[in-house]
Amino acid sequence: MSEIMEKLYFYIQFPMVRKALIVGVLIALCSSLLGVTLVLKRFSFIGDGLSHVAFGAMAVAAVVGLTNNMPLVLAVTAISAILLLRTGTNTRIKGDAAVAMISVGALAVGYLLMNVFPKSGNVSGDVCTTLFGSTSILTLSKKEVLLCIILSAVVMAVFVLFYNKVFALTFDEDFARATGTRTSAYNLLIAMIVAAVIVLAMNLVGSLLISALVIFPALSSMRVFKTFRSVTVCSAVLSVICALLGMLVSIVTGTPVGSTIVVVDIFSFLIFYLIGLLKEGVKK
Amino acid sequence: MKRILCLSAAAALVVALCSCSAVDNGKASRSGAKTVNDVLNEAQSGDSGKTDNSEGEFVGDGEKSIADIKCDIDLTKMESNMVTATVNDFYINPENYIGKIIKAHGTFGVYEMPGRNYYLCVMTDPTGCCSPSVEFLLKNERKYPGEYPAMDTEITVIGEFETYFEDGKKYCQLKDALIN
Repeated sequence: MSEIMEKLYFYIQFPMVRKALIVGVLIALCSSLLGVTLVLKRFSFIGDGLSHVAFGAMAVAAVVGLTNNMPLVLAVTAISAILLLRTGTNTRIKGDAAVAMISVGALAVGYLLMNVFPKSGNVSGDVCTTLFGSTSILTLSKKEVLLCIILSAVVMAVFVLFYNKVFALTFDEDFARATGTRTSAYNLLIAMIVAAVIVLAMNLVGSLLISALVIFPALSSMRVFKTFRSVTVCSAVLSVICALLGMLVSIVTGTPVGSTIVVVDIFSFLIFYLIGLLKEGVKK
Repeated sequence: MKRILCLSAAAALVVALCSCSAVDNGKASRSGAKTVNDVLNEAQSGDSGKTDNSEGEFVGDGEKSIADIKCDIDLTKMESNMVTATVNDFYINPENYIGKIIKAHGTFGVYEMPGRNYYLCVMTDPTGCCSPSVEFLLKNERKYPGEYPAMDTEITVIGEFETYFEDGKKYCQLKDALIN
């Protein structure tokens, strides 16, 4: 135990580890805030679809030779999020079919571009890093860290400021519209935030594992808590703890960061599931 | 009012977290930064006895083994995640490492280019798809391939971190390196 603590103390001295922990916590917090809304609106899988779009955009940015790819990736992901999340319009391809189409399409185009116009000698390494995160959270530049912090702050501010509207839209969009809420504008806002969270979370867990970061904390919290506010708060706390624990375990044991965080999320879900069962048993 | 309080708390959290990251870059690796020559001179009792042994080691007779040479950054004692991150940081913030003595363990690799070969210590990352590597330049020039280890042989290398420019691009390497 003391050996682990010594190791942790040693690694925490590295600026890159401190940066990774800060950014990781912020990303986990943001993704969990949106997770509750997305799960309740039956959009759990949208994170997966959008992350593949972000992967495609990242490949385009690499091919074009952009040194800072985040603005382009953010813009493309936001546009896709708006297209996927707009509701009540006469789209010919709807729901999960649209998500699946955009998801696999972007993934295929991204991978094709990376192979046809390779920017480094290690295409498989680049793809692997983008899909699974690898150690990208530990290798962020100062600019990326700053951008992550700003985006996280914006996401949190928007969520807190528009909490009531998000709540209304999550549970009954028709009622919200009937009471004068500009639902399309708020849906657009949610889409933009989701896009920002996806782009942020790609750094932490990679594009294939983003959904886990969005849905696990929300689903775990829903096993135990029943109100929107308590589920959101619990989800945020749980997500931060899991991300921190996952990152520390991965740093100490040398396992991949993204998958370690997701495994911790799975364990937390199992624990909350059991607690939920016990609670129901006690009530009966 | 509640929202303003929440926002203020969030802002304070972000500022507090940011201030943590601003702490002294490279602090972890700044203890006793002697140059590699100082260390190697301490370690070597004389170059006259420096011979390759039959197992292909480059640490000559009368020298301390690489394991005994003190270094500023010992990649051999880090987990693979941290090795990848640290090697990546060599390229992002090379100024933090110039003059530091660095030790790495991996497999021997070489890029054979017209006019110059680039000798590498190639490590593996946790996902196994990215292979961080450090270039090194041996203290005493040797002929390739005869006097170098075979490709993919496990090696430990120690040397002084430096940057150099080639075709207008910045690269980094471990100079005055020893391997075994």
